Amino acid sequence: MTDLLTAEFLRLVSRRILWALLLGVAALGAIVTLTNLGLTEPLSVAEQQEAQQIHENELVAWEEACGDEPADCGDWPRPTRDQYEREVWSYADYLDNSLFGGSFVALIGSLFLGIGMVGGEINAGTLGTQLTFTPERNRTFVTKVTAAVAGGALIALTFAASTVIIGTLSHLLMRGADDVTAGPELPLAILRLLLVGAMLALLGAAATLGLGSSGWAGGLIMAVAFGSLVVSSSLPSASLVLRLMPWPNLVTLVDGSYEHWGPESYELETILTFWQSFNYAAIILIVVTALAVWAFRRKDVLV
Amino acid sequence: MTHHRWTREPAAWAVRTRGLTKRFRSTVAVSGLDLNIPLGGVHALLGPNGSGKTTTIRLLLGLLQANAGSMELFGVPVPARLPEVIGRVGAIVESPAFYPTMTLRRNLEILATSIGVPTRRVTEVLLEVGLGGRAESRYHQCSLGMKQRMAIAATLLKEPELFIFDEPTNGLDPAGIQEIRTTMRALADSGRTVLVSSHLLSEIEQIADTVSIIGRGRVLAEGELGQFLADGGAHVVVEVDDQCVAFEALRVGGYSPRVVGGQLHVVRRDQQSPDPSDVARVLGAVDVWPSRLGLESSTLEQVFLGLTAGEHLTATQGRQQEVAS
Repeated sequence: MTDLLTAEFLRLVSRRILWALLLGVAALGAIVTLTNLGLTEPLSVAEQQEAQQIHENELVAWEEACGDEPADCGDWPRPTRDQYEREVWSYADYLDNSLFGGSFVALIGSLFLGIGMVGGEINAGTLGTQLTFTPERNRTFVTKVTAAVAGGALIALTFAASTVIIGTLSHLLMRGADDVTAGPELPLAILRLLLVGAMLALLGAAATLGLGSSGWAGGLIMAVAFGSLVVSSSLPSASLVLRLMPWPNLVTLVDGSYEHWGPESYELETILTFWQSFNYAAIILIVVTALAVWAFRRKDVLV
Repeated sequence: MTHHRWTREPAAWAVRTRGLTKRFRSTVAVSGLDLNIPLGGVHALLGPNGSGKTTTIRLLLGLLQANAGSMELFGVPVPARLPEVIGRVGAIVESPAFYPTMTLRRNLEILATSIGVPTRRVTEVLLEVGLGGRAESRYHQCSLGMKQRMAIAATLLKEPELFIFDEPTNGLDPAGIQEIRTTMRALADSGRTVLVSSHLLSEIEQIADTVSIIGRGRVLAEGELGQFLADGGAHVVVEVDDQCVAFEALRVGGYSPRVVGGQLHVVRRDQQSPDPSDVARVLGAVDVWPSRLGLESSTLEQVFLGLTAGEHLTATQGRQQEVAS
């Protein structure tokens, strides 16, 4: 098993797909952080004046509507100036938001690695060549998905590292060393990203081995993901179906929680916690992997 | 019924199958195959397209799941215990597949690592097949001949006792074919067993020691090559202007004529050697005078064609024809 696993890692690092994806997510991290850098810039005089003007106009309108009985205005509180000022991100906010902003694209890279690694072998016929040397299907399956998991986590880590390093350097250059303190959420966010990257790579590799086709595996996974995104956006927050949709659970795993519009108000309410979604994902992965192992063991390798 | 042409029972078998059957949906590729491949020497697996040769090889290697029957490699049942014997088997199945963008060395290093073979063995096998100077070339940059040699190098990593070559000379030029032929013969002469599936009967005739002929997913004949050629007997070659009249006259006269490349090849229906003078008499009786008439020994190709005449069918098609008749 050790020899086979070593060979799989050697195969992984020898594949162009890995290096192309690593380069891609590193560039993604740079692009996202540099794009967001402007949101760390303090308000200019013009922006402050504009905010002041808007505030004054809104205050006039509010006083006309609410007059002497502010309680009659219900959910329309007295306007304050900061409502009309552009949010200035702290260093911690900058990194957290940059990380989240690019994470889903980076995670597509992790999924694509899992699918592409195995799919490439099937299409090229090298899986058949490998099986004439090591015919044990279970071991082959385990070592391939293990390598995929490592690759998927590495892609997520590369994106996170690029975001933090380039974000920090650019912040130091443009804003100085003041306020360069990461929030408590950043390490947890990075760990969640690594976990989801590993999970998606596992899902991609297992599905491709089980179905014997990267096209089918990728198409099915993307259809389920985006389909659930569309469906979940139309479901009420109290819906059990919403909690069982893949998309909200994926968001929860990345972001730590999932918020949805409440039934009566315009406020967001948390409907999924990280551990709920972790359990959900674990069950899904166990079922998919078990089915994939069963199918792979019986599959005729014709190429 | 299988025709056996063994002058003596081999001491041991490298490969044996009993009742091996494989279906792909409605197509039966292999139907109750009883194959016997002796240990040592070059054994040729011959058969028309679609007769089940490649399917049989893939079943032996665990790439396909059999629907029925049993298989043994070196007396060990497979696929149940295939991991125990796979290290003794090196195989090239149809077109060998390696990573196109990786170098020859890296491709072999991955395979060597997967089976616990030291990577220094990679250099040895590349030198052995004459690719030492091209180790750093990417696989997609190699010619077809180099790719075939690369496949042989991969099989040598394991230092196997049984080599399986499925159509190893496909797409090669005459020099490449000769090289592969020499390699296979050398491997067999070193005490190993070589199983080769090929359509090039003239090439097989030069190196094979034993033969299995497959048709309709079953073994039609097996045995020593020399015995095949001896039993194939001789035939009379006739060239005439009016083939139709000659054909009918010979048929009535107790012969089985066959048109081959514009000539009539004539054998006796009672399996005895044909007499050219008698053939001439039969033709003369109907006023047909041959421009050429002579006695020739059978080649492997002629024996093969004689055994597989009408066997250009898969096993399913063969059964359908039998049912219809």
